[in-house]
Amino acid sequence: MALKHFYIPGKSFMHKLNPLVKLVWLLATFILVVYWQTLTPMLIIFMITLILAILSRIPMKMYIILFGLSAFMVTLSSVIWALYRSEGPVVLTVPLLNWEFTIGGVMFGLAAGLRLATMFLAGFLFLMTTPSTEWINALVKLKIPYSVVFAFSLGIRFFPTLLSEMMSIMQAQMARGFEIEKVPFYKRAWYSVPIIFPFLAGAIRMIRDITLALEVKGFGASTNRTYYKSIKLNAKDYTEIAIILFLMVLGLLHGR
Amino acid sequence: MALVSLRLIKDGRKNINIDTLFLFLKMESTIIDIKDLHFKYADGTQALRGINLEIKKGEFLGIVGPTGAGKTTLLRCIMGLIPHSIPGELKGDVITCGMNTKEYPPAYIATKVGMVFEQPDLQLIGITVEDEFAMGPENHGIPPHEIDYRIKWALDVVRLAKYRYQFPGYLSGGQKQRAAIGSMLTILPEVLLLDEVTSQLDPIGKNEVFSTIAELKKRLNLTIVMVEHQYEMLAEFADRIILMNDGKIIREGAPNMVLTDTDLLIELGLEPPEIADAYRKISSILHTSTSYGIPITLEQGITAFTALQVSPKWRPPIDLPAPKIKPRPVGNVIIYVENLWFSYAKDSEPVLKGINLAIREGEFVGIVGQNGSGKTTLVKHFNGLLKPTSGKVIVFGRDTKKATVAELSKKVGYCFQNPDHQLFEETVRKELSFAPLKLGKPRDIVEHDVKRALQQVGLPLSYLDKDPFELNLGEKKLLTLAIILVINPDVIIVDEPTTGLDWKSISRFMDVLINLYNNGKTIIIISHDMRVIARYTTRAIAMHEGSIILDLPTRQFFTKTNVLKEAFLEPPFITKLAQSLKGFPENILCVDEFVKCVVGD
Repeated sequence: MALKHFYIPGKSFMHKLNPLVKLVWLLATFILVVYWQTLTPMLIIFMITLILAILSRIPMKMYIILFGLSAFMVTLSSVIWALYRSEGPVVLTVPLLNWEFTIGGVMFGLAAGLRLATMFLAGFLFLMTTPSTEWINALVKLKIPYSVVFAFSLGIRFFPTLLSEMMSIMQAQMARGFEIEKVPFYKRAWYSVPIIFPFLAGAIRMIRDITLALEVKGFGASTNRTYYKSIKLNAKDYTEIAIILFLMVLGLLHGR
Repeated sequence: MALVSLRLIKDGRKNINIDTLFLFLKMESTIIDIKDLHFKYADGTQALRGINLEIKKGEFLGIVGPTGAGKTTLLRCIMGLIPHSIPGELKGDVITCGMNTKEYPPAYIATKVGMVFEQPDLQLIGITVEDEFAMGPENHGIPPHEIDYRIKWALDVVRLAKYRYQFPGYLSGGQKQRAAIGSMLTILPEVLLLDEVTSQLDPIGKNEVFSTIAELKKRLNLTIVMVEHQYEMLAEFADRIILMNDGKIIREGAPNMVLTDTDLLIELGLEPPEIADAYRKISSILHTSTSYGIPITLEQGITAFTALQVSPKWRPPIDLPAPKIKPRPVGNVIIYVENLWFSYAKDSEPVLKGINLAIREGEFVGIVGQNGSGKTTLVKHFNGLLKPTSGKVIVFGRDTKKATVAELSKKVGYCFQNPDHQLFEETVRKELSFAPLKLGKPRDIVEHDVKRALQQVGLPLSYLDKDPFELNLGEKKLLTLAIILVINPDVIIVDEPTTGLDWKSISRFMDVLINLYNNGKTIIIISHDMRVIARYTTRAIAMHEGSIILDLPTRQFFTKTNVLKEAFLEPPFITKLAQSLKGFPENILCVDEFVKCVVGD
């Protein structure tokens, strides 16, 4: 159940950043990697993200998982893209399969892989160093409509509940005495009905109950909803945001 | 009230105690006024038929009645959820805190009224407890510094200050319900509606919530309307009880008037409070007067029976079985557990810590313990759903590590707590025949097995073509039991057979289990209901923090009150009463035994 909660408490540089600054950084990173196509800038921004990850001092186990998955993405992507794109001279041929890898293809694949890995790394870094309440507040501060933000927060709140619901259903159906392991693979989809149906029925009941709970908490009662915890920005935060935006614009102008 | 406290804070008197505000506002006036209320749900169920009810400010009103009496519907009407969020046909008027619910949607009524529901998990929607407490006032536009003050105060009232930044999913059942109550207090309500808030909780959770409610009554004098099945609790706190049946109020009065009418309660399919039941039976045999009132709570019982100056005339022999079961001789060991340790992940705290246990053919075992003590985790090892981290589980001579769930299920049937986790077919017949057909059994044999299983659980054959979702909860539970019986296992495990059921359905379900037991099955149940354990089982096991701390024949089990206390468990009320009276036997298990003890054979 490692997925239950992403946030890992800590006192690193990344943890101490204002959540709104972190959100701006995350968006800037995403915008840049999506805009860029070539390898060099992609490599630079990946290195920056990597350094930030190391600075955030999360547990060793998480590093191994994160870096391992990043490396896997990069490798997989470069192989796959390189197979489909041929540009420039051939650098490697696999004789039996008749595969040819070109320089251009490999470069493009590496860039695509790094793009994915950067987004993955930056996203997880953000979630691991920011408590969910704080990034929700950051979204509110960005003037995202409260109903949208609240939907996010409901998702976080009930994800583990839904997961454990799913587990109970699977066990309850297993206890009936039929084994999904022995069912031929092509028939499996049909056999998932006993799990999906009770799960959906349960989810609908859940939504109904949650709706009543929302009503009782006075949702929509006042047009002037207040926010108990709002994010305040000081001079340092503004400076940091300005630097990030400046670097982003610079990147957009010169990186392509 | 929000405005009052706000003004006080603006005046600079920041340290004004919110408690005193509640006392200021206590007046002998009507706060909820219901006139000739009828309600029909959109599916055609007529839930309320002519309710007239006035509730005074500061009153604690208890609502009791069988399932389907309209108790929850009545609370929903007071809150305005009916007719605004739940569609249906409403006649009559409900005036809550001066607002006619026809005109004011629940969001407005929510500025004056808080409501707590039965399901602990689904009403906590914030990511932290603090979030939860802030949500109400935020929605009503209360300024942040005032919210801060209210959160601190409410956390103190429900004693959850330690858990302020905790994720609600990680709290225990009792803590969740306290958090739900606390999150309502931050709107500074005038009325609090509590809808069966303890029915999903284990005994310790129930006690936590009761003591919180006691605190609310003592400290804030809130108007409280509570639907509840624990009559002893209502007798202690409620000013007035209304008894509902079939959408009508059929009895109204002080707790010791309404809740001691044992004949009426039994007629409605409700279980009368044990001490009141015993007192009534004894007075009618001894021809003593009941005009001084009939006791309900333990304290009242001790006083009343001490005044009667009774002495025990009969003692249950140590080997006397529990009242509702005729045990058969036990046979071979069929489930053998040796030094079982289990944890869900490699580096997590073990859930089971060195369990040793042997269950024999012919036993009816009850397993008790608070939530998280490892009961369910243990029994899931008996049919291989979970495999030991270390140690051994041998079921019918097979090591469970070397067998699949499907193979073990033929011998050990497991009935899950929530029927909604299993049911998915359009008809009862399809539901029952799903697994055996998939296992490749011929259709005619399956049809025969299905009918046999349905008869075993006492449901009529006409149910075969019914939609499982049309059944009530008690029948759904019987249906999930039938699903297990189609495979015809030798051992039947039932996880929480009684949660959410009224007494009539509990008795029906337990009678089915006893019948199966008499026809050669070995039964294991997990239950929070000590009365069920005391009456039906041959052997009881108490678990606490992953270990078995008590394992005795049921007759001796409840005499070990000190060990039970360690696991936060308590014997049934009637047993406690006998244990508190001088010279009385400690091993009384039901009302009839107590009566026999007082009046002789």
